[in-house]
Amino acid sequence: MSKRLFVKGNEAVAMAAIEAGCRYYFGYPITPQSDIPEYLSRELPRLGGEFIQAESEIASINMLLGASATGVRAMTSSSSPGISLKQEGISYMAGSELPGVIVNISRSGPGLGGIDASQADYFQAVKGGGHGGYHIIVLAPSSVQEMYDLTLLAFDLADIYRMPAMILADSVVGQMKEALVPHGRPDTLLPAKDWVVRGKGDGEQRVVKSLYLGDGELEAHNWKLHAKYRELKEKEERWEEFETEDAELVIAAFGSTARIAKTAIMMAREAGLKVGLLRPITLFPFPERAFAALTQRCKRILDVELNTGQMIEDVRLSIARDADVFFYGRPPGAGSLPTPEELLEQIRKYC
Amino acid sequence: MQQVFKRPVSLKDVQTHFCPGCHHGTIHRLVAEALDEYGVQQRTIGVASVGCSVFLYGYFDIDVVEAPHGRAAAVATGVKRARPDSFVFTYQGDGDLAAIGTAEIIHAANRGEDICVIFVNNTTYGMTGGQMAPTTLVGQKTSTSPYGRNQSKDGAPIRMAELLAQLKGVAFSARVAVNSPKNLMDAKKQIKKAFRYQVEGKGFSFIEALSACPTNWGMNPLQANERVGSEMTDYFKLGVFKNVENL
Amino acid sequence: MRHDVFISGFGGQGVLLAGNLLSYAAVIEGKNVSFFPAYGVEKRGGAAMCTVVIADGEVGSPVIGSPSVSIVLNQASLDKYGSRVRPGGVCIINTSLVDTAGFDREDIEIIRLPMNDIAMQLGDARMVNMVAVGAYVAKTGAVSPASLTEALKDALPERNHRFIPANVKAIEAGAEQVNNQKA
Repeated sequence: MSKRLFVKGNEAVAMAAIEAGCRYYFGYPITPQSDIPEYLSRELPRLGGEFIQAESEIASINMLLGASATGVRAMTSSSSPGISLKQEGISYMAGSELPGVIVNISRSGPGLGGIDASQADYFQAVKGGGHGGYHIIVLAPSSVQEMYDLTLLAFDLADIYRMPAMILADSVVGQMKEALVPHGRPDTLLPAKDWVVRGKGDGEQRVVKSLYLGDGELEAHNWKLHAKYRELKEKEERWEEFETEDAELVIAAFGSTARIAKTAIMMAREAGLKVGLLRPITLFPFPERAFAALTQRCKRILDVELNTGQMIEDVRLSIARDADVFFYGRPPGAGSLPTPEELLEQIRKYC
Repeated sequence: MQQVFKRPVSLKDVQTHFCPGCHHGTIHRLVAEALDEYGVQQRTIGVASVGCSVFLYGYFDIDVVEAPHGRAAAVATGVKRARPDSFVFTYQGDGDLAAIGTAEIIHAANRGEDICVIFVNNTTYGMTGGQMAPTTLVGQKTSTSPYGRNQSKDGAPIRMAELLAQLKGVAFSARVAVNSPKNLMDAKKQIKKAFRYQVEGKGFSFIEALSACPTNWGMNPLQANERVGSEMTDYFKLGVFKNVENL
Repeated sequence: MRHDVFISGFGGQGVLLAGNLLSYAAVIEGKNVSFFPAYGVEKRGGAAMCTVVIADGEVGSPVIGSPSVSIVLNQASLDKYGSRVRPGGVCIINTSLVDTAGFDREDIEIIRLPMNDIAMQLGDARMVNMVAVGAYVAKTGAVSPASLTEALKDALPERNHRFIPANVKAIEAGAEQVNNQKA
């Protein structure tokens, strides 16, 4: 067994990227994710890779687009305002069917907002944040170990489905330190990258593009992308259930909020309240079936988010028709995260 | 019989969509000849931009990545860093490179990325229907400068070849035109030089090629060609503004 | 078992090192642990604070509203975090720098230690954080003294390993004070 390390969530992302074979990183500094570029600026040159601190988030995502088009594993990371700037490039990558990993250690908004932990980028991440109607894979780690594991997974899923994958976390998961057991890449069967630009040699010309002007081409292209989203929903939904077997109230929460909810649930259980947690790990594809199945028996969901209500829309679309959904939201304020004690009060309201 | 003129192998045997009198086709040919000259076609990755030249992959028989508007230099950076053995060039218009892509081109040049940039300056946004570009000449009427470009409000046209020549990372920067046999021969020479610099790993090279846009200038091809050699070259002087070999 | 603790003071008192040290010791013992530093706005005015949660099972929330123990190294921290210790909990206060007059909670145990003075007697006021950790561990048994000693190698940069014996002494001094008060 590997040694148990004790590292920051952001560092775990960087370590996993290297383990995944990523040797190309392009980024621009922004709090609270700068540990990632700092780590990779130190390690990638030693591994024969490339680290570029770009002139902007826009340039970073386009460098990622270019590198990915050649078939290498590459990534960028940022935080909310920077992720907004990357949306143009993400849309082009989605349209061009390019893999690539984008990490959003999100902070509060809108606008410059603040640097506190926030989940207000949920809509932007899962609904296609740029123009044109597309989705990307969105994974929401809630521990340092998961920052590592899901980063490995993000690279694999991006390659398998030929689309960008995003790690959506916040400063709680990014800045906290926990034990980490690093491990190798899973032995996943990956499709051959027979589409990459490489210089045509004696072969056929290859083009990576998102422009389709021929009769019916773009419509066909959109249906092709849509089919991949359907396949993702069929095969890749991931979630965690905690104390749900006999639960009369289930909290729906992801990432850092799910962690806070767990302690609240432990406290509630000690007080004899039957509460559980359903934590989406994939935000896209959203674990619709898990919510549908759960609400066959448990009819009360308390959705908790660090925003004014975003994931709740997907929860509502997924549950049994006779289930009720309640909401507790904490859009970030200066230094005020919800506490387990605070969530326990909310639990008591609905038990 | 000896064949004295043929299509470069880097060009496909197809008709272009360019308007009559447009210089894109000629510039495409010069680029293709340079690719042939150095035998790099098979390891070339071209980066197409947004504008009239977006269909690069339709005319060049090379691998191509299509970049978002203005981002070609950043995309090319990613390509070249990931595949340093490939020959990488971007082909961009004036709206793409000198307006929306200004940050990307300046920083790619400043990093001295080992790529070639072909910048086609026709003083207007061609594909969108002739709006004012950052290179539109003072007084020039376009669909968004109906009273003529007003320097006090719109600024003066940007001279990219001179501007980039200031940067340390730039190995070669030249402005060329293809409006006359003499200029065309010189353009061919400079493009080859720019490409040779990448082949030799000398760093970032930049070719600004003046082009006619008869359709959006409201001129016939001959008048447009004439304008390149007069009004345009009066302001956008032809010449080499940076050459590391002469430093 | 589950231990959660706030450690707070001002920058330079080694608050984050204390939290890291406890966490490394927990990792060595195979326990689960989360270390969450306050950052950004909460750091204003040079304040330093971290939350450490140690558990045999799942850590759960790295963010705690009311901890079982609060280690308070300066006055501002007492005002901010002393009131948040949960009933039945413990507040360990550095009386070298903190006036506890008016802090009269009867639902918690208050341990008053002149930590700066203890550290100075050992030769270096900078070891105030080690005295605090020693006191905390003696009081709660969250981790073993042996693990703490071993964890110093992980928590301190290599160049400071020569100070490990002195740090161990400071940890022992903090523990001794608590044990004496118990007795």
